[in-house]
Amino acid sequence: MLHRHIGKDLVAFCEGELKGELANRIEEHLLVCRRCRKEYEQVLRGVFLAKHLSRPAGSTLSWSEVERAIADGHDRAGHGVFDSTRRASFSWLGLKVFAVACLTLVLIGSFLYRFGRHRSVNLDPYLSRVETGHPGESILAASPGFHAADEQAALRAAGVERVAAQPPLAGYSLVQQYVLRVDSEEAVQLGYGNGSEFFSVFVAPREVPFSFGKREIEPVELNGIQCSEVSCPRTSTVLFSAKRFHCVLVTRSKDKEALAAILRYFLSAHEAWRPS
Amino acid sequence: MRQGEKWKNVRPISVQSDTESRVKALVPSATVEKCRVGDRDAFHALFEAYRERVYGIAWYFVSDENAAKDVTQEVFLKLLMHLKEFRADSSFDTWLYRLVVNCCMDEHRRRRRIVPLWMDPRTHPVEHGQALESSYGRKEIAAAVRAAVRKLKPKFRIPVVLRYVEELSYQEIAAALGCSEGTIASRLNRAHRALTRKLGHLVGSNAPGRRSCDPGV
Repeated sequence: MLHRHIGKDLVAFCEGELKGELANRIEEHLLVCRRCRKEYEQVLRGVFLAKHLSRPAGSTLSWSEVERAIADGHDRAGHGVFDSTRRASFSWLGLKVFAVACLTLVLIGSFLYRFGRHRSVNLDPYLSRVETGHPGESILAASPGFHAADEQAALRAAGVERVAAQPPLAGYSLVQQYVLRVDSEEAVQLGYGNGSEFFSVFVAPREVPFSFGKREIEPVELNGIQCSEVSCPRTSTVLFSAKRFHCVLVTRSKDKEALAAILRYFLSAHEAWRPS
Repeated sequence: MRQGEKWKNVRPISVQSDTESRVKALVPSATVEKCRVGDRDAFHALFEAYRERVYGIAWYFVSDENAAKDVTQEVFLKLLMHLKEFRADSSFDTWLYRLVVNCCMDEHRRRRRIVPLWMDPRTHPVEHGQALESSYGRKEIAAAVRAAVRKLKPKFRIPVVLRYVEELSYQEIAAALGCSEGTIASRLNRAHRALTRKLGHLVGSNAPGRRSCDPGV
């Protein structure tokens, strides 16, 4: 029996819904296939967990609220929502408004494209590479668009030159530094390592946003520090900010203490930062 | 586009076959017919019959009760607008589920963000080796599971909610989402494994329902 086939049947098997020959075949296969057995254990626990789900406490939506919403629809359309004989009507004014709105959107879009296309730092390609590549090489390699830069200039642009004598974590040292010019601002990528573990911190002024493609971003609390976690299966990618800067930490480590220490390093440096 | 992909763009359309659904309708088909011709009282009855069900699904897609209420209201308004597209020879419940899923997906795309931070079990240490459920209690596990389900991707969240909250069969879920039962099974499989990855530590090694298929090696 193909592993894939068993995978699809596992949920029904775990719920006791498979009978007869198919159930027997799956049982026999699970006796000899370690991979499927492991998957079976996972699904079984998942089924057990899912059975704790229930419908939430009753909706507070009342019929009168729905009636009001329907009535609002009546006023806007000019005829009853319950009017089954309503006919479509055509409005020249509506067409003109629509045309003006489209033209305005096109003009705004053109303006934003012309002046805004370099304004964000897109880290999605970098994160994709980090997820699949060698930890050290991919984390320390420059994100697309970034170029090698002078160490002091990079630290100054990152707002950490006053604390640069100490690394964010004991035993680590600054291995690479890169800069990306974004209009009149600079985004910086600082790469740290201790020979076996590596992390990069991206720093940019608040006016230069980071973008992460379609990855989800969720607020989290890391040892008391309010930040956001970017959805990356194999890395810890944390977005945080203080005063003029915001930063993105990227590492394969899941050590919360270490992550929090790195965040505190940059946050305290930025809290104390003054323009030179 | 493969049939399994269609669910992303599912819109309220008449269900083609009535063999895929055995969901018992909460209202007689006559009530649905009356709604189609504009009977307000019939629509009220429909609303009262399905309100909790719709709200229950919406609740798993949004971050709070007020938002779930808004989505519920939107579902019923859309139901009213599109009811004429429903063919009475198919299951109204399946058609309604499809409408609810579409509205939830639209709302999810609009929001695409904050899920309440869920309790990190690692901050609540439990004695090593103990069956964790007895320490946590069913209520705490349920809260953790709800939060974890809300963090699942929509395409995995929907089958879990329809299966374990609405208690639909694979057939009914497939009909509501416009995809095959195999696709549903596959998504449930992945959803369960995702839940286990996040919350497996809440389950003792002797989860109920375990069948004795250990090789004894």
